[in-house]
Amino acid sequence: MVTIEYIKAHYLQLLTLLKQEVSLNQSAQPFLDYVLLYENKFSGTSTTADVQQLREFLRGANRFADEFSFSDRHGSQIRALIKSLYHLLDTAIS
Amino acid sequence: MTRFTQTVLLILLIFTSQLVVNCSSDKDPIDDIENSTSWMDDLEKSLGTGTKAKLNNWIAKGLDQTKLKETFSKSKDKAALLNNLETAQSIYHQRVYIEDWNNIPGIEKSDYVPNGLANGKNSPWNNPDLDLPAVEAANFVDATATELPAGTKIYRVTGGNPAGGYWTKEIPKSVGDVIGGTAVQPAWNNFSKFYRYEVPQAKTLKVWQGTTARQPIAAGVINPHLPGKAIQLFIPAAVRDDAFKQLVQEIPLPW
Repeated sequence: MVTIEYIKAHYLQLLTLLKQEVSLNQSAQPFLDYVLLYENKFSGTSTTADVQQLREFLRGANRFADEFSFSDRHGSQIRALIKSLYHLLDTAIS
Repeated sequence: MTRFTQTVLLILLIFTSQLVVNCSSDKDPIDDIENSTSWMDDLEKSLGTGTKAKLNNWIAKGLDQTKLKETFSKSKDKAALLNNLETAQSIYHQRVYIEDWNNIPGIEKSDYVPNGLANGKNSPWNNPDLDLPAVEAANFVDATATELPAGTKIYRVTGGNPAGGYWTKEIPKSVGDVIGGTAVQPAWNNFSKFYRYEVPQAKTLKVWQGTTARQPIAAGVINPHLPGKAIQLFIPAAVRDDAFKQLVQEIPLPW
């Protein structure tokens, strides 16, 4: 079973990775800012409705990520984390 | 009374009656002029020198003055609103902040209801790197794995990564086709550059093709929304190798 704590941990992992990316690649800053928009919501998530909202947000964040050329070092990890976080949110709802 | 005196009196009478009409009118044109910029003067005082010039510059570029004024008037954090407008991707993104929906092309004024695929799809190419993950599948109403033959041209509008995953086979006719048809939020893209890729001779390009799903116009906004409906392509990251990137060419915007 997917727990809210597990989702939060994944989100924080994504934030850490994006911060590392921004230290190498300043052009990724707007994407980090965008993902940070939902920091409080990821921290305060408790209901299914919240999770649905987060899933919708992450879908948009992933679409926005398509506008960025991430570094070779982090690019595939960022994509993989978004993909797995979305999967976790999906599993939490169903 | 001479004829001259009569004429002077008549002119005076017309002038004073006009003055009375003007004074009794609800709207004084001088007040109108002052009101039209006094809100900007207030913001200049509270948000700092240069604010008025920025506002005037945006209005000159097409931002609706009335909507801008209304939004600042309602805003509880005017500094944050100014910052959002300054860092906006484009005038369309600024219009999202001031909720000027009438001037954002391609949108639909009804509630957003998700219509994307609920699950990812496995590709027929026996390679998990070419699958359509759930997070991408949600951007499609339907999606089919297909191989584009040599000579096929595909197109992408972006201000960012020229070799991203989302493309179209059709040339968009307007920015509304991109915002509405391919459901691209103004927060994500400044719509400033146009790219083309042509599948090389003796090669094919493995893609997912299907109808674009709806998107909210901005995070947290339900109405209006972006209807999608255009046919879009998703090219898996594994396909977008260095050889692919080298063949992506910038061409003039089609509008």
